Amino acid sequence: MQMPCDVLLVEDHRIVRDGVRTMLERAAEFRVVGEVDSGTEAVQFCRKQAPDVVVMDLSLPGLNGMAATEEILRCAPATKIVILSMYEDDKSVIGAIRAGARGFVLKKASLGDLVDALRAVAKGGSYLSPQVSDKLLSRIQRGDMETAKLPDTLDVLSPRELQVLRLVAEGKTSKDIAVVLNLGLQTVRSYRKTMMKKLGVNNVASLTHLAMASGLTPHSAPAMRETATAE
Amino acid sequence: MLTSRLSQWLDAFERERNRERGELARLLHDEAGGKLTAAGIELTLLRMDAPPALNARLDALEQALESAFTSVRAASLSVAPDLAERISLAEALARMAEAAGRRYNGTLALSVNTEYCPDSDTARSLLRIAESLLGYLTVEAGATMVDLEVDAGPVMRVRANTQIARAQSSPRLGLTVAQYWAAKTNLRFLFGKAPEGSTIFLITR
Repeated sequence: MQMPCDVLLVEDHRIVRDGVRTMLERAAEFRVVGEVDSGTEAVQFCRKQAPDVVVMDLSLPGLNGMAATEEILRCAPATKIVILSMYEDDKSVIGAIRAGARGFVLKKASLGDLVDALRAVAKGGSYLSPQVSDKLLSRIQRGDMETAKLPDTLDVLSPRELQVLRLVAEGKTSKDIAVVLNLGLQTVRSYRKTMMKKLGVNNVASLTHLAMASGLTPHSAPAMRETATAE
Repeated sequence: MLTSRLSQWLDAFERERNRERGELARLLHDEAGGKLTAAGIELTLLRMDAPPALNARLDALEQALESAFTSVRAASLSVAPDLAERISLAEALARMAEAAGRRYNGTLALSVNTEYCPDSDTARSLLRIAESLLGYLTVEAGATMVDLEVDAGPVMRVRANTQIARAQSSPRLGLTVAQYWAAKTNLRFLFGKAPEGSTIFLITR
């Protein structure tokens, strides 16, 4: 008998987690091994247990689903991420795919395709809800896929620096970032200093502005507000 | 030209507006979206257990639920402060014009170069300028015909069948907000009288 596929549910609505778990329990090939309601907890869980698949909401308190996806893939590269999102806008879909998600399922009236997505991804494939793939195809056909590309300004940053920059722009303090990325506080501070030097800015507000102007954060307005009070 | 006191006031006004809209978007997503998703899952589970005789009724229920999803998704996206970044500028302008058109008895024409994809600051600014200017022209200045055109450059041209003198004498919050956003992103904001009693606004680099 084949081993069941271990799944972690990351969703801040308990009622949704309960429903997804019930759906997965009906399919013998899945076993829900954990449920968490924030991106930070998801990263910590995956660091310890490396589940086969993570079902991840995009809009989460604290570390959002995109940043959590990147970090999970850094610490548990064999784990596959399936995004379960309310939105299918370009920024969410392309951002999630760029972050490394293997599946993107739109929250809708019929969620039968979530199980299809998990099956496909668990086997090493990928899956996009039909609404999402249709939009993506249209964009490719229109030829405007390059809009989501990071601007040249940020080319000088390493992937890790980009990750730190995204968290800075989300209003996280160095201490928060150290916890989320499992780094030392001094290391995070060095990253910030190096980034400021590379980007030619001399304060966190300018760094944040640059990150937001580059489309690095999904919820830029609140991030700007929070960052003003961050260290 | 905006005074520094007025600019500071507009900074605070725009921050508060964004905060409120962000909060509304979050509420729609978290409250309505979460509950609809839970209902969708329950419906999916119910369909697995229900006898085939119930399929037609489940289909009807699914359709109604999907329509609620579409409305909540659209409402939540339309108030998202980063709308122009989440979808393209052209799509954001089309949504904005559609919403404005529903509240407007006059003629509103929109023409956008869909291949023009500005950076996120410019996109956000152009959307806000268009939104404020349309609000001003259609509500405060009483224009009954407005043409809005956006092209690469950026170049935004807005033509309205209202006289500039009339525009100057009315309360001008929308106009001031549009000028504020242009100044904030280093765009020139020009307007003047045009033939047949109309006014042309030109926003460009």
